[in-house]
Amino acid sequence: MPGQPLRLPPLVPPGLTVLRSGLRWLCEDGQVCAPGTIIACCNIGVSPLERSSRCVPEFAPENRDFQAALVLRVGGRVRIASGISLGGFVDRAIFHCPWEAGATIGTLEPLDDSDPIRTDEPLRLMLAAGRRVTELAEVKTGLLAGWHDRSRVWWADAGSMFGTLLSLGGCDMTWTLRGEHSNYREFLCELPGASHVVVVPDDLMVHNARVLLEQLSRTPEQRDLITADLAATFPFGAPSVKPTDWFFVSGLLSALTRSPIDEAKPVLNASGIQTITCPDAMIVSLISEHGWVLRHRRLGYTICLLDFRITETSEAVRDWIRTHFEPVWRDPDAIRRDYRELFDAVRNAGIRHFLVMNRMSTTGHEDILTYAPFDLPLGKTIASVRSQEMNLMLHDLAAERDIAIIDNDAIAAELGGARHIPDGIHGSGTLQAELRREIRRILALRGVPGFAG
Amino acid sequence: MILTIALPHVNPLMDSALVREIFPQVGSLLLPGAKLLDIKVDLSLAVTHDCPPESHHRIALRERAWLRQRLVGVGDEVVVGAPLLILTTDPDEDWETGPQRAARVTQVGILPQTNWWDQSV
Repeated sequence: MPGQPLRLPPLVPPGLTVLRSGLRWLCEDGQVCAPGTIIACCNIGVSPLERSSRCVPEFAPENRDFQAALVLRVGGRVRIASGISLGGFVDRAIFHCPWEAGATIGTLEPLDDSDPIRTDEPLRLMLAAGRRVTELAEVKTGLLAGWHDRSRVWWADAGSMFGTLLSLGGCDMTWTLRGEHSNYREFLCELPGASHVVVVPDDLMVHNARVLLEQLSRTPEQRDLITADLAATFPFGAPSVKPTDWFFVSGLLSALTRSPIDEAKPVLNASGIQTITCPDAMIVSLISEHGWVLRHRRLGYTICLLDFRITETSEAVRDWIRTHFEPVWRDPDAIRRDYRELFDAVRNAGIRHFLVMNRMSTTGHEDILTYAPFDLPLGKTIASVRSQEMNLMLHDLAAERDIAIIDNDAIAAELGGARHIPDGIHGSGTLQAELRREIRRILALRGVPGFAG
Repeated sequence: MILTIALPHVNPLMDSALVREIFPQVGSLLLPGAKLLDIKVDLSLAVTHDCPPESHHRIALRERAWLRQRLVGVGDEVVVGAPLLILTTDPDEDWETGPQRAARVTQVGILPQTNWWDQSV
């Protein structure tokens, strides 16, 4: 049955060389694939024409996990050309092929003769870049696999309107955007333009408004002071300290000396390399606004860490935290002030759209018949009251600032909270799909380039 | 009347819970609204999990009774339905003959309680 050739899309801009590994096929020969399926991927490296053995500096921090994914625009049966892949390390780590736009790697056959493939170019190119927490975190198992403190995907369509969404949300947001295959495919494939999605997870530092504000405004001198203080006070040599505690403080230092909002986010397409420092839109989660944060007693900076991460450190580390930090309670008014300040700061930095996902505020698992057992304020003890106060605060804030609310609370309740968000935070695939749809809808409504039709 | 409080099924996916706090002393009179226990439900069970699906709950009393016996201690992992406390409606009632009904309680989701700040933990 005749089909359309599957050809590598254009990628190499003037003045640069793009080399790739062999293709790793993510489908079988003869497999019927739906539109949006990633059928193959490879690792890529970008270098100047005259220095093809050296990566361009823009991509140096993501060089080891810089990948290209080939995505079907339309469905059909994939026929893999012979001799394209050699398997093993050759398809993972040996950059032996120049990227040749138009090179045929297979064929896409229609499932029915009466319904031919209705595009000349069935493949679309998605690029993915992961910045490893440590270069030791070598994971070659697949697309965007590994331990990354930042991961990004974008359509490498040159010449179209381009927009960037930066997510600094909690696990509720990170894994909603990453989707069922952890590679953002579901989110990206539904977008009309050349969109760029950047996700900074909260593996260690939780991105609440106060932490983000301080990261954004921290000077090089303040970063040096924090670094020197950590080096001088952290109990590296204490008998109970484990090697993993050194990773803990390393992650902490990385988070304190970076600003994920305005750091460079380079993108590559056939037009060239464009370095984005200012995303078009930014999204955060209300669950990141913990009641308690920790403030450094001497230098005054704030950290917000997931409790279970601290519990898993050694006693010497917990003692170091108790000695050098003090707990600070943040009620909804304090959080509202921080959000207001953060909103104004990111607007000044040029970010035009600010989205916040609210919290699931109810549970079917409780039966409050009396509030007598609880001390006032109730929001300091009862989870549902706290969530409702926070959601209300967000609505008040949206009345005074241009903030878009992703109404996780309403969407989860409509689907059924007990089934779709059983612990109040971690949602089902159905809930995540609905949240992705809502995020896309809001970005499109606001006309964010790449996200609006 | 002898009353019992068993671990409620606060989440349909749970099998057990960890007792985090027991508030009243044995022998004390408890009034409606008295705090009884805080428990933690971890849906990842024994599997260490990033961002564990934990929730915290408080069980409070809705009637007047005397606490006669604690059947669990702080730190115990108990299964759903396991008896936790024995109460009686009279202070000197012989509770060892066995419970006659479940005490009326209310269960509420509470904010996570940090335990690492206290050096003794």
